[in-house]
Amino acid sequence: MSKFCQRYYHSRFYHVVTATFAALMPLILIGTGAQALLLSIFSRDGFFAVIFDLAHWVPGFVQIHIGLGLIVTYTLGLSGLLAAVFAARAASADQPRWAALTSGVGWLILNTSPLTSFGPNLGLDGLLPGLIFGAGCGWLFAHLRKPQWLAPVLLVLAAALRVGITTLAKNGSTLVLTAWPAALTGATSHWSLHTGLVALINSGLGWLGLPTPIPALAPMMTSATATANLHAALANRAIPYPNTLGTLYRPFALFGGVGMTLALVIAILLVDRRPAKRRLAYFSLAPSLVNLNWPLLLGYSVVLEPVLLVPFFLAPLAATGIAWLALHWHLMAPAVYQVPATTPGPLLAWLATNGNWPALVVALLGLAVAVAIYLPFVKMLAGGGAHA
Amino acid sequence: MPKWLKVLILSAIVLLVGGGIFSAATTWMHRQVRDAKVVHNSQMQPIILVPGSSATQERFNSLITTLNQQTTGHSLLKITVKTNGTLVKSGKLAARDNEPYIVVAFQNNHDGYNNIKKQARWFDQALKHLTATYHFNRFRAIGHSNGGLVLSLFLEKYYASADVSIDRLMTIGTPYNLEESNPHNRTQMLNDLIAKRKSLPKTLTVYSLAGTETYDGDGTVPLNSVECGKYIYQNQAAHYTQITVSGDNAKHSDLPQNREIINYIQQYMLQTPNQTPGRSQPTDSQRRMTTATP
Repeated sequence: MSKFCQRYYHSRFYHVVTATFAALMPLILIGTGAQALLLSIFSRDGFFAVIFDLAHWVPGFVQIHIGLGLIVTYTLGLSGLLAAVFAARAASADQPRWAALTSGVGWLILNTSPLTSFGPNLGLDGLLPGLIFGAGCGWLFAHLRKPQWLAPVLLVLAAALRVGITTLAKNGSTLVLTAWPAALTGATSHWSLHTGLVALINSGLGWLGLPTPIPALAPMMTSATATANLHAALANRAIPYPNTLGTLYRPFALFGGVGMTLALVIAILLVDRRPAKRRLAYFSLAPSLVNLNWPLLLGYSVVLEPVLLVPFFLAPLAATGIAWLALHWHLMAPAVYQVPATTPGPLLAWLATNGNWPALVVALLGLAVAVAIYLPFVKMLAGGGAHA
Repeated sequence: MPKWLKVLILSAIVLLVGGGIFSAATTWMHRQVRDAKVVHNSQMQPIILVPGSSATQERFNSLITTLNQQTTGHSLLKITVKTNGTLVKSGKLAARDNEPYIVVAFQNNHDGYNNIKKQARWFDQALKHLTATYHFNRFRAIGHSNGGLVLSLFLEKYYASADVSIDRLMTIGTPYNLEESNPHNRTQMLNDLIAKRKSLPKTLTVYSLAGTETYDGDGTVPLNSVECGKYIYQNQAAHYTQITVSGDNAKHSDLPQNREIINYIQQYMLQTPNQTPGRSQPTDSQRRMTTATP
């Protein structure tokens, strides 16, 4: 295993990944800061906006909302495109300009459909696809060495592919990427099993930097089971579906975003002594409290980092398991009520149960266990054995 | 500034801000849930009355006449469930009556555990029809004699799958142990009721009223049999209250006309004793809402 890791760390691909993420970091930091403010404070359904009724008395609320939205759109909203650009630059040996421009323009062409000229894959959804596309472009430029021929050929190919896709189907590629987990998990009928499986798939896709089927920032659970649970709770009845994503996974295992990364921030602050990483963790603390984790995912190289794959899977699964046990033994009330997506993680269960103390304790216990799961792996990274 | 002071001030600030956010969020959530309940719950919450064995849908006429002399705006609908499950209705719910009385009686109104089980199933069918026709999702129930057994069996066997919730139940002279006066000799029915008590709603408030004509019963039902209700409801329902009345009209068949019992119904079972006919009745929580947001 460690041999495999060493080979991976010295591979060209890993070099491209780290170089791309490093180049993107300033953009991600600014974008996430703006997004945290936008979603939690300056949106009508933001956590702080609803509990303090900010929209009613803060002057310029709408203007600030629009302004922050612009910043987010042109920072995070361009990260997929820029990933293609930076990855091509990092992968090409001696023609970085040709490679970067071709990759960027090519990625724009690929993500322009008749419906939109600003597809989701230009933003965070396209981080990994963009990176792979860019790396491929860079690799071609590094090996074929005829940029004046290669660039037009690649762009023509991209345009042809785009036109072909549009002709065949009117779906974006995101649809293809997120449709299969639903198809896979729809097959299991056992609810607890289903919940665990989706938790794993969610972590897996998050680790790859892809859009997850259960995003931490989805405004609410709208499934039939969640609705049935809510109705039962409002009528003071026992809820019909206790083991679902809405009752076990979302309120207990998404603190700080997919992968329970609030626990990772705490683990870093506890044991990682590298100044740059500590600065990153301090910066990530505030966005993590409103469930935004991109600076952490890219800056601490969680995405595509084999060492952190294990806790990224295990921590949410453990928190879900603890919640399942507590609910199974009737120690706490089930989480059924809708809460704002930007609610600080440890408060999610407390609010979704309408103020159930045992649920708060279970949530904090889950967080503590998740920190304990992350600790040894963070120590391993911080110890310098594997450079991250 | 020494380090410990810095740490102290910092943690005090964090604690203060965190506590403020925590309490504000909790208050907001409670309000959200309370408002959602107002929207979710139907305005109408009928009181459903089930007579005992050998009694028809006319059993509660005198009771409701007396109640309507003391209160205003409650209409009366009477339903008899035939043995084939069809319903025969008489009477009519007044427009905008949020708390009507609905009597559910059975064509087969015989005594005996097997008949009571059938009556519980018929009650479930009648309730499904009523909720669909009159659009309510909550009710309160009063059962006289075996009617209380029908309601108890319904709550244990059918309630969990019904789209309706109950918050109060009153049983009047209900023989939870049939005619058996020794609580140690439990009948099959009582054993069954106790065995399935866990499926009773935990939020239910139960009043069990007993009459005493003699020192050990109301002339028909032994006091000990009524008191066996505690083995079913106590520590399972949210509240279980046992009340014994004596004096005039404390005989088993007279209990629904007993003045004391009528007062208890008015006090414990009616949410809005005086409704103004022809006007929509705001519920308590809606009243709170309108004052909160002018």
